[in-house]
Amino acid sequence: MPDRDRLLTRILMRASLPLMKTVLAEDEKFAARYRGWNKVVQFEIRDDAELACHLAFEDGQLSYKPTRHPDPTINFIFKDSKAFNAMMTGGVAFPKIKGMISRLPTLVSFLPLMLRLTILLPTKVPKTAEGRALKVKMTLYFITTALSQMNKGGDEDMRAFTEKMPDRIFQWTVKPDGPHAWLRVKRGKTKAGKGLYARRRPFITMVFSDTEAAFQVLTSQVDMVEAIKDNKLVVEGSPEYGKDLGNIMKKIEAMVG
Amino acid sequence: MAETGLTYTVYDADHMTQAEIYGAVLTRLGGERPDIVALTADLAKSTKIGKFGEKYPERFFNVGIAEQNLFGVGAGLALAGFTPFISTFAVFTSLRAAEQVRTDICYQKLNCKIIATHSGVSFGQAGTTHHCTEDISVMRSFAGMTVIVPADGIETAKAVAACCDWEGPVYIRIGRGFEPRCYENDQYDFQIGKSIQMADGSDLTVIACGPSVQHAVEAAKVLKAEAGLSVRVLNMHTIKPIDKDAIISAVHDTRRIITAEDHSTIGGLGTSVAEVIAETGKSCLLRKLGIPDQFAIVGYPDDLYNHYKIDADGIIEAANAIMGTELEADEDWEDEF
Repeated sequence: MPDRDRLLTRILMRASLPLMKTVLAEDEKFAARYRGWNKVVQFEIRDDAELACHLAFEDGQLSYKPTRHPDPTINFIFKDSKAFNAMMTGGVAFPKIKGMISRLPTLVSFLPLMLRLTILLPTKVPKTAEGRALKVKMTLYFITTALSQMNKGGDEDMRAFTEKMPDRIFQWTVKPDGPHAWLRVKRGKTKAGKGLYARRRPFITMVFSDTEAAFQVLTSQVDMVEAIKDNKLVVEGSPEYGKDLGNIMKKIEAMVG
Repeated sequence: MAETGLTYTVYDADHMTQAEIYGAVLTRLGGERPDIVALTADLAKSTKIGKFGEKYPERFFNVGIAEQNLFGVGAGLALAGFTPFISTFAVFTSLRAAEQVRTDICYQKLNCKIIATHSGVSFGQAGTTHHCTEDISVMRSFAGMTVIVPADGIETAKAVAACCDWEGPVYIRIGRGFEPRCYENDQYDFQIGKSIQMADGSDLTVIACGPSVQHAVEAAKVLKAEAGLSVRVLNMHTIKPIDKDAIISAVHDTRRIITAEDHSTIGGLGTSVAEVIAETGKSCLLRKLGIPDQFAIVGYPDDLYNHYKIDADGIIEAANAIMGTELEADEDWEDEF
């Protein structure tokens, strides 16, 4: 059984932090703040060989790497997984920030981008249609990657779900134009991706009737069974497997708090 | 129960063999279409075309054991405005009389309908001389020839009826008899060149023709029950023109395809499907089940189907193997961040 704190760190690092790319892609005005940037911001758990990642700006273009960088501009170093998890789930944490003094303007400019991730928190309920659409998109991307990372991190329920499964695609889609996200499973391996999976027909597709329906279900304002009854959510494919996946999603939700 | 011919030992009125149904349908069509004539080469009883001869002796011609002549005469009748149904064993049609079928019939785009019986290893105990595991390959290479392999008696009836109004030469390949029924009734739409989806699925597709269709349907049920696999089954009754759309959908939707046929794995259904897959440019795993590059051994058809793994057991084995095979291009398991 994997360490629950480390597993949550893995999920938050791999599924949440990359969503800064989505924030920038969706808000051009905000992205303009980082135009021309050539900087690297790193997050790491001290003395943990695996739990580190960095966000690299190259001429303002942001990319995410699940690895350590040899020379980051800013480096957030957490004493353990618990501290990182606390910061990412709305709690208090005091990481050591390498570059805080010498590169203060970079840190000050970066923090607003990081704060945009709080849209994922259950307490954040955007009022505007744009805000709700962004929350739906980021939540779908988060869920699929989190499920994959649960598997890669050795969560026993997710491993049991994936280990004997043949090559199958689980697709989430919001009508009429997206967003879309998918999870591929094949005999113990998983991969999460964005968009519509084009290489084969999904085994299960969860179709939300529109953005508002997706928002209500993904934020648990409407129960999934009720949503299916009201045609806000249509599950195309085997309901049994959809239910299993739903249970693991609830497990992630409980972990994130 | 009664003896019904040289190669039949039982007759069940409720479950007529493919050939018997062919004979009955042709006889019915003969009453509606005075242009239909029937020809055989001393195999009227075995191919069941004799039923037509009993009712319309003036439109029935037995040319004796002379297959090349059989197709030459058929070509002449077609040129005279008739619609000839020519029946003999598949091996004599596609090999002994190949030149006459090609040059006398196909080259002239004549409206001849060839019903070839005892195809594949369906007459397995008769030995290599009577096996025919090459005919699909030969016939589909003839320009303008339409090639149909019905799954059972009901589909044979539909194919015979459909080919009457189909322009140009048609080769309908049926077995010896005793092939189990795939369809409970005839309430389905048969169109030349349009496959029938017998089961839907997203894990893999089994494309079959002839007696292998029934085995594929059975295999899909077992794979679902035992391995939770979702298997699509296509009855590809027309090998030429082949249903490209159904194959392309299978490539896109399942990316793993097994073909099953009572024919050589060279040049038949499997090859036809492979040609379509190659044209799509998409990567897809393909396993061709059939008679390998050898002359088939001698035995009862069901034993040979099992031996050559074109029965339900063989399809299940192939399905499990193909599900465990990797698609190289897909082996990047890093999440898209």
